[in-house]
Formats: sequence, C-alpha cells, structure tokens
Amino acid sequence: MRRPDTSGSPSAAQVARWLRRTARRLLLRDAVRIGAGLAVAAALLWITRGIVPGWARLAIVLGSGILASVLLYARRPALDRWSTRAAARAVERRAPESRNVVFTAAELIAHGDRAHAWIRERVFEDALRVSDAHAQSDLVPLRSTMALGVFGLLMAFALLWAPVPEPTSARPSARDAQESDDATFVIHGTITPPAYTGAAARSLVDPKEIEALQGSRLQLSVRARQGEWRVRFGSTDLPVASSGGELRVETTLKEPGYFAVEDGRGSRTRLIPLTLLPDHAPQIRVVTPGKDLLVPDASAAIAVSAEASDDYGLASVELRYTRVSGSGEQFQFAEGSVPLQVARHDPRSWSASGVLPLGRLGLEPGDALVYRIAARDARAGEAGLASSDTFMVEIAALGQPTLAGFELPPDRERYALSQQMIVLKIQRLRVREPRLARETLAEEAGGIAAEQRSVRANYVFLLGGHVEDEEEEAEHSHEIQEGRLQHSARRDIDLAIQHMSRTELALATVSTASALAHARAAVQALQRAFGRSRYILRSLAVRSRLDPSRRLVGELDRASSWQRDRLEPETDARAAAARRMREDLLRLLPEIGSRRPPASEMSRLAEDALRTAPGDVNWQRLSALLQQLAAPDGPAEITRTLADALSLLTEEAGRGTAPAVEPDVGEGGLLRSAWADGGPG
Amino acid sequence: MTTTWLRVAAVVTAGIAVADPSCTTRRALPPNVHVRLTGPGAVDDLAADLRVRLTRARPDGVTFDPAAPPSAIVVLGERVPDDVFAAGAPVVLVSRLPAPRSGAVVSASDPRPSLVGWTARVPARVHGRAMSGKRSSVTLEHRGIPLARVEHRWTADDEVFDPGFTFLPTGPGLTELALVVRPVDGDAGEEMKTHLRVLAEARRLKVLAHDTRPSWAAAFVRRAIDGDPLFEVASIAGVSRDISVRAGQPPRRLDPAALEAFEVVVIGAPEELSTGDVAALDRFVRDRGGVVALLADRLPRGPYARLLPVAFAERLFDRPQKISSGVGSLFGSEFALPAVLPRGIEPLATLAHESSSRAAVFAWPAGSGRFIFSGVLDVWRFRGRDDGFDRFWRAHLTAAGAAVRPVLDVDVAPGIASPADRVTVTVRARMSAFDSWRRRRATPALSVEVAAPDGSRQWVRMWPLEEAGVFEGSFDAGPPGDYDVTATASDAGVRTGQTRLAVRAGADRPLAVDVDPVALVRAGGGIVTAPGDLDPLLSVLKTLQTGEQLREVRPARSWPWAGTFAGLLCTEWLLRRRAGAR
Repeated sequence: MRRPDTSGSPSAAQVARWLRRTARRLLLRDAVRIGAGLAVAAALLWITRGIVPGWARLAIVLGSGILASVLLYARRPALDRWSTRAAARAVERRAPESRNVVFTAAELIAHGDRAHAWIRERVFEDALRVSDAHAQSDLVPLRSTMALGVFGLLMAFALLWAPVPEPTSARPSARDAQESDDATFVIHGTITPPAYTGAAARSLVDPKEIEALQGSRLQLSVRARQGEWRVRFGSTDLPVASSGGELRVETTLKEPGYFAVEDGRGSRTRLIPLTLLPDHAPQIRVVTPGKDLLVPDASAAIAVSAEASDDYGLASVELRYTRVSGSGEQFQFAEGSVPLQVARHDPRSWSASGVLPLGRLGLEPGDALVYRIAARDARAGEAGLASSDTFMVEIAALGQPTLAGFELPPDRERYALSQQMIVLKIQRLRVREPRLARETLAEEAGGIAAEQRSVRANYVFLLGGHVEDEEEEAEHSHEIQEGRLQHSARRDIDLAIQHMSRTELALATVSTASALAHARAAVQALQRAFGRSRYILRSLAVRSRLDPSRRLVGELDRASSWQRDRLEPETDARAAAARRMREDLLRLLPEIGSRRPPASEMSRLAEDALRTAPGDVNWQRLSALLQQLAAPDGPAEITRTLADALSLLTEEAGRGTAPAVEPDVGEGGLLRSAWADGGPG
Repeated sequence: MTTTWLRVAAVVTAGIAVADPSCTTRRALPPNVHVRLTGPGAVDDLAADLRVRLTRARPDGVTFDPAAPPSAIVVLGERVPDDVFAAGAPVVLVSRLPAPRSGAVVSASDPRPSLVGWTARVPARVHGRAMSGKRSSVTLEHRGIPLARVEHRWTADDEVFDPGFTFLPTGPGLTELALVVRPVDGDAGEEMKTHLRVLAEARRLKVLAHDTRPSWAAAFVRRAIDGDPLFEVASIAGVSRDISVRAGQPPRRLDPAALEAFEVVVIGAPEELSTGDVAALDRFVRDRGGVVALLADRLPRGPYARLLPVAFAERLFDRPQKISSGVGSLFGSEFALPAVLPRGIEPLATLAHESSSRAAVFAWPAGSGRFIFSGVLDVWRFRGRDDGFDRFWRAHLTAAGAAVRPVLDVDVAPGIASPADRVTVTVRARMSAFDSWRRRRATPALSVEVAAPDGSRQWVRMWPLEEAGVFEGSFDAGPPGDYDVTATASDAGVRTGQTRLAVRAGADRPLAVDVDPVALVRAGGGIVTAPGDLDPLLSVLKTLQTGEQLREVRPARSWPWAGTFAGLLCTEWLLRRRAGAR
C-alpha cells in the first residue's frame, strides 16, 4: 500500500492519521470476527473426533483452507478493506452529511497533484470538521464485535469441556480402539517396597509392565472417562474402590502374573505383566577352616571366619553347632551357638570371625561337632534365614589313627541325618505347633519330610536300591555284585524304610502325631537291625569285598514275570501352550496381514501368553508383541512383529523336543544298501 | 541337318534311359536332435519355440526324429534322465537352474512327512556362482512372514552351502514354506524364491525295546524315549529263564509278522540273540524297512555279529572319553570300535583320541531300512554328565523312525505346483506287507486317485519302475486348491496311502536337491544354459559334426531326363514344320 503524501500540509497529515486510525479499527473488527469463527470451528472439529474419522476431519480442514484461498483469490478487491480508502468509505457510510468530502480528502492525500493547493486545504479542513463531529467508536463500532469474540471463545471452551460422544462407526479399527483406550483411561501406580529394604516408593504412569520386589505393595489407580471398569490379577478380580471416576486397587505383590484392566464388557483390555524380583536369602561362605576336620582330641580351639552378603542388607550372623555324642542308636544331640565378631563393610556385606572352643563344649573321643554359619536379612520370619555349608569336626576315637587337623576325604558325604534327628525335629515341631500358622506348619513339616526322604534314600542305597528303581539300582550295581542285598538285617531295614515312607507321608499331610509314631518305629527297627553299628551313615569309602556265600541265595520258585506300568507321555505345558498359540496365530495371519486383526482374539492370545508363564521375560515379550499386532502401524511393522512373535513361539514350542538330525536316507535306498552290503571299501 | 542331330540326340537319350545307368553321391545329413522334457507344464511351450529356433539355426535344417540316433540331446527341465548319456551325444541342459549366470540359486526338495512336535530339517541348498566376496541372505518364510534367516558370505565363485533351516510343525496337515535368497546391502544378484511343502502327521512312533537279558545300555535308551509323546514304547526284558518284565504289548518273540507293527526295535544285550532272532531282525530291516538299534555292552559276538558290516576291536580307557555328535556329547570308557570304516557307513558319534577319529556309534542301510550300532559299551554310566545321552538317542531314533515308510508311501513332485503343471506321483509299496508278494511274488493291484477341491476325481495311470513295488505316474494339476492323492492296493485286504498336493497360482517349484543336474551334465561334457539364453545351444548345434549319406543316383529316372528327351523331339518337330515338312 502506498503511503499518502502528507508532507506539504498539516491538515493533510491530521486527516491521514485520522483515516489510518479508522482503518486499524476496521482491521481489528474483522480480526476479532474471524478469530471467533475459527475458534468455534476448531472446537467443533475437536469434539467430533470420536464421531468423524481422522481422515474426514483432515479433509474438512484442508477443504476449508482451499475454499478460503479460492474465495480470497476471487475477491481480491476485498483485501482493500483495511486501507485509508476503505476507512474513508466507512466514514462516508456512517456520516452521509459529509457528502463525500472525506473520500475526496483521501483521494487528494493519495494524489495531491489532482487539485490546486487552496482546494486541497479546503477539502482537508472540511474533512477535519467531519472527524471532529464523529468519534471513532461511532464511525467503526467495536462493542458488538468484541461481544461476539468473547462469545466465540466461551463457546469454544464450552465445547472443549463437553463429554465426547461414543463412536458411531459400526466397527472401529483396532488402531482406533487402541487410541480410544489410551484416551479413555489412564493408569497410575505406586510401588512401595517392603519397609525393611528402606527403599523409597516409586510412581508409575501408564506402565507397560511392572517390576517390583517380592512383597511390595502396589497401588493402582485407573482414571477412566466413562463406563465400568475392573481390574484383575490373572483371573482373580481385585477389590476396587471407586471415587470420582477413578478406580483404586491396592494389593501386595506375592507372585508373578499380570494385571488386566478392562471395561465391564471385557471388550477393551490393557494387560500389564508383573515381574517379581525375589529377595534372596543371605549368601554365606565359611572361609576358614572351610573343610571337615578330624582332630586327635577336644583340646583344640578352632578359628572360624566367614563372609556373608545379602542383596538388601544383613541383620545378624552367628555360628550354630550341633554336638553329636554317643554311639549306636543312642546318640545325643545338643545345639548351641557361638558369638562372632562382625565387621560391617557395608549393610550388604559383612565379615565374621570367632573361635570354636572344643574343650568347653564337652566333647569326648568319638564325638562330633557339626557347625555352620547362619545369617539373617531384615525380613521377619524364616524366609530371610540362610546357612552356610555345614562342616564337621570329629574327635578321633580311642585308637583311631589321625593327625591333628587332618582333612576328611572330600569324596565322602559330609554327614547324614539320622533317623533320631528326624524324631527330634518332629518333637520340636509338635511343641511349637499350636503357635504356628497352618501355612508355616505345612512348610516346616515339608522340610522335615524332605530330610526324611534323604535319610530313607541313604538306607535304600545301603540295601542296593529297589529293583523297580532302575536309576538308583544302576548307580549301585557294584553293591549288587558284592552281595550287599543279602544283608542279614534286611528285614528290619525294610521295615524301617516302610516306616520312614509313612513318616514322610504323614508329614506331607501335616499330621505330626502320626509322623512321630512312625519315625519312632523306624528308629526301633534300625536299632534292631544295626545293634552296635555306628548310626551316622556315611558312604563307604572302600568297597566291601565280595562274599560268595551270599550270592545266589534267592528263592527261584518265587520269581515270576510282571508287567511294568508304562510311562504316560509328558508334554511340556509351556511347549503345548506355545504350539496351540502358534497354530492360532498362523490361522489369524490373513486377518493380521490385512490390518484387521480381531482385537478380542489378539487380547486373548496376549493374555494366554502371560497366563502360561507369569514372570517369564520371553512370554511377557510375546504378550507385548501380540498386543502390538492388535493395533499394527503398517505392513513392515506387522511383518517384523509377527516374525518376532513366531520366533518366540517356535522356540517355546520346541522345548523338550528331540533335536533335528537328518538321517542319511536319501532316494535309491536299495542301491545304497547294496553299496553298503558290498563290504569294506 | 540340325533336325537330324536333334533326332540322334533324342534317340541317344532314350537309349540311356533304357539302360538306366546309376552312380553314387555323398550328402551331409542334418543333425537329429532329441528333445527331452523333464519339467512340468510350461516347458511344452518352450519346446515348441526351441524346435523352431533350432531348425533355423542351420541352413541344412534340423530333424527331430526320436527313432533316429541323436546328434545332440536337449533336456528341458530341472531333472536329467539317467539314459541321456548312454547315446554318447552331447547333452545340453536348458533349465532355469543356472539363471542368473552370476547369482545365488536356492534348491530344495520337499522334506519327508514330519511328525507334529518334532523339529525336522528343511533340505535346502544354495548354490552361488560368480558370487565370491558378496553376501546373500536366505530366509525361510511362511506366508511372507520370515521364520528364520541366515546370511552367507560367498568365498568362492562356485560354492554351495546348506542354510540348515529347521521347521517345527505344531499341527497336522500341510504347511507351505518359501525359501528366498536375496542379495544383502545392495550386493548384486536377484531374488529367488522356492516354495516347499511340509506335511506333518500326528502319530507316535512305535518302538519295541527288546532286552534278551537285563541291559543298562538298552534300559537307559528306553528310558530316554519312554514318556516322550513322539514314542509309543513296548518293552520286554528277559530277567531269567522264562521270566520277563514287560510294558505295553511287546511280541513274545522276535518274529517278522509281529515286528511288522513297529518302526524301531531297540535291542539290548544283542549277543544273546538267537539265529532265528537275528534272521527276523534282518528281515525287519531289509523287507519292512524298519530301524534296529543294537546297543552292545560287550564286544560283539554270537549270531548277531553277522549283521554287522565290520569287525571290532575293544578299547578301554581309564577315564571317560568324550564322544562327539551333532546333537550332544556322550561319554564312555569302554568301546567296541570298528577296525576299518566300511563304505556306506554313517557315523553318528565319533571318538577322537590321540589324533585318530573312530566311529563309536554308526548307522548303515540294509535293504529298505537301517541298522544302528552303539559301540560305547558303558555309555549309560556317564549319562548324567549332561543331557547329551537323552538328546542323542531321542534325536536319532526319532529321525530314523520318522523316515520309515508306511505300507503305501505316496509322494508327489512338486508338492506345491502351479495350475497346469505336470505332477509326478510316486507310490512305494512295502511288498513284505502283501500276501500276494509273500506267497507268489505277485504285485498287488494298485490304483491312484486324485480328488480335486471341487469334489471331482481323476485316476492316474501308474507304471512300474525298476525297483519292485515302486510305481510312477503323472497328471496335470488343476485349478488352485488342495488335492488329495490316494493310492489303494488291493490284496487280501485293502491298504491305502495318501498325500496332499497344493496347487497355487505362481508357485515357485522346488528344485531337486538330491542330484545336481548341472554338475551331472557338466561332468558328462555337456553344457548348461538358461531358457532365455539359447545362444550356447545354437552354437553347439552349428558346430555339430553330422554324418554323410551315400546315395545311389539314377539320372535317367529323373524328370529332367524325361524333359530333355521330350524337348529334343519337340524341337526337331518344330524345325521340320517351319521348314515346310509335315
């Protein structure tokens, strides 16, 4: 726009300024009107995002832009709306009594050479009179325009806060559903580790997976825009507290699995795998002496040092011992502990040292002391208690040749639990039984049952094993050859073994009274069988010599054929699940390839993956891949994701299967056979 | 005067005709080309075009007389018939095998029917020509989804490698796979794809574990496969005279008829086998096509030693030795090792000791089946060192058992064909299963029927091949779909065998992997070229030294002779008339 030449006359300059002010008001008026319209249009587009597809909204915006451009081009003169000429026109419309003098003044400002100077002055003065007679607000009123602008903005804000209507399309794409999911609920979480760890709580926002220390407390809050929602852990619905459109779930993380956040119809599901990090029990290593000792007498004091570490911090370390004295089945056990001096390098790593005063423990020749280092982390209960390897100090019996501190043969078993010890442990458990929770009682009974099984196995080995137990039979075939099956006390030992089996069974059913009775019966049977024999059993370091008189003394008449039960085929559960899922996935390939995977099927597969192996990284990844496939981005991503998912499934489906080999059996079998029959080549 | 001479000449001409003299001439013969079609369908079009181009290649033309001795044999297709070299003529293979001239070509054959839940190898081979220094990727795909991929850098201009793909069928039926070779990172070459068909059967391998006395060697092999869903194990162990421990339904004694139901027989303490037992096992392997695993715990002796293809020497070690195999390690300290390695033996596990390597476990074909012998006498003692013992025996017994053919084994080639492709059906009948064969060596009546997806059926004419019980026929593939090919043999009863053919539009057929036709032709002095490049073939054709033909010529019998005679007479008559004579 050419700027008017007003250098020659003050009145001309005044008129020009007045007209420019008027033009600016015109511009402001139009800008407010356009802005209000655009705000309302944008708000309408925003609120229809659930109804009008994205591509349609984009088309509307682009179409509107093109239309506006065309209109502007077609009506180029309209661009003159904010010039001084336009301002003059507007003044003439509002003040018709001026009779075009303002318009003439505007013309003369632009083209001063079109009139004589005195005429110009006269016109400018008349125009100034018009300006004096009319205020700007009269000439270009802005009140109603401003009101319209405010109304438009308010309208836009109101529309933005209005609830989003449900999509009306018959079948939304999986991608749209996922986007809708993301938009309609937000998940926040807080993980509070167990107090003993001293670790701070941490927050999660829309977690794809949750990794937490076992025993942590999890608070999940789900903010859903509308509808009913529920939260499952695996197949178990979690109690939900609802307030103000927000669901709150609180639970203790005890086992790995997955959370499923889904709407009431189960049509939209968000799966969040849970990986639990276990709190490991302390690790303890006995540094010195770190081996079994056979000492000549009980006068020695044995220095013991150990190192202990824990992943979250140690609470205590002590040396525990069991004094074993007596002979035959009349062993006596006494337990005790020795204080240790502890050096704390840091809360997680300690060193401990102390002395085992054999003399003060009342040991006699032939007695033994079994010791170990026990450490505990900050957890309550027995979960955080751990022991080092157990070592033994044996006092040489009278006449037993030994050297001080001579190490016992390392290939011997360190020591064996006796049946008497089993009786003792059951007795102790029965004393504590009334105070124990059922779960704890079952756990401790199970532990003793495992020890009973170990003792029983020792006797089974002693007898050469059961005939039907081929594994153990084979391992001890030399004992069969040496005639040990024909031990004279076999009947009593067999009886003892039977009682041990019943003890184990009773412990498994947490029937301590019955277990104690059978354990005692087993002890009595053993006493009859061994008489004065040493009770603590060790694997024999030297094989006994073959006794021909004990060979072939069985009764052949009682031998007969028998039918062995066939093993039922065992299929790895994970492999079977992987095969099933792989078949399902291959069946769905055409739909996945066309980017229309059935969302419910894919969610089911993803959940199956998490259900199959909760906490397993591979299966969690598989689940994530399957969820990705439910809302794929493009063909390349589909191919890559499918390949990864199929690769994982193939790996899992092949668990436990025979490796692939290709036998050399090509065509022409008979020719090859004839070639091989031909003899050495 | 002139007329007189003309008359004399005519008389002389007539005289010569009456005498009818003869002479002998030599003439070069056009080459006679035999065109053999070994590929399906579309090769027919190529053959017609080829005949036209060959005929134009020589001025004297080309004949295509199949009854006449060939000057050259042109083989169109991917397989080279065995008899083409017998004629002694140059052989030219026109095949898509060598295309592109420099590039990687993947060839494969449909694997044998596999078992659900067993990882089977995909027999594939990639041949690179003029690719040294370049890289190719080989991908195993299913419906466009890559299942496995290997990348290979070529180190020689003519190199073959096996990508070593495996496939685990998770359900019964037909699975379509594709092997795709692509250049890597812009390396030169073209993409090549080959489709494969994998058939999986949901069945269990029937195994008989037969211990003539308690044998740990056999017991632990039995335990390795007992409880495996792929195996159904029946066992019998003779623990004393007339006393045995049995599981399942094992036969009371080793008898060919009783063994017919099993695919694999595991023998413990083989030295205790009687002569009759050994004969039954021999027939089981040779006639039935089964697999017998002989698990020795002593040096071989007794009747069964005659089954073994080699003599053994005992080798004892004070410490367990590692025995290497492709699927895990075995350990043993007492060995029965073959003195020499006979031909035709496939070592399964090898003992390497003091710079020598000896097969400790090996297999060899016998008749239609296979024997496996384990000479690691105390391998069971060290089975706990790792899971190699179980893996080894499960892998080899599964692979060997899965390769045992059913009574009627039906196969089609290619397994995935394009519409109108020529499909070859091969039926192998286990003759030992048929009464007519056992009694009078007569072949049972056999019929093969193809059921199309639309329900229509067609019969396939089958022709016996050289091997007894093997028949071959062919038919043209119809529209896309899955076709069931069923063979029925009628004897005392009716036996059937079935396979499935997939017909897909645009299927790339697998190239045979068993015999390399390119190498075969080149070894025979022939040349190989591609359908789009027939210049080498035409060059060969132009330089062919064809034979000469001696021909007796009688000029007086030819029409020019008669014409000459007539011309002389007519000229003489015309001259006389113009001279006014009558």
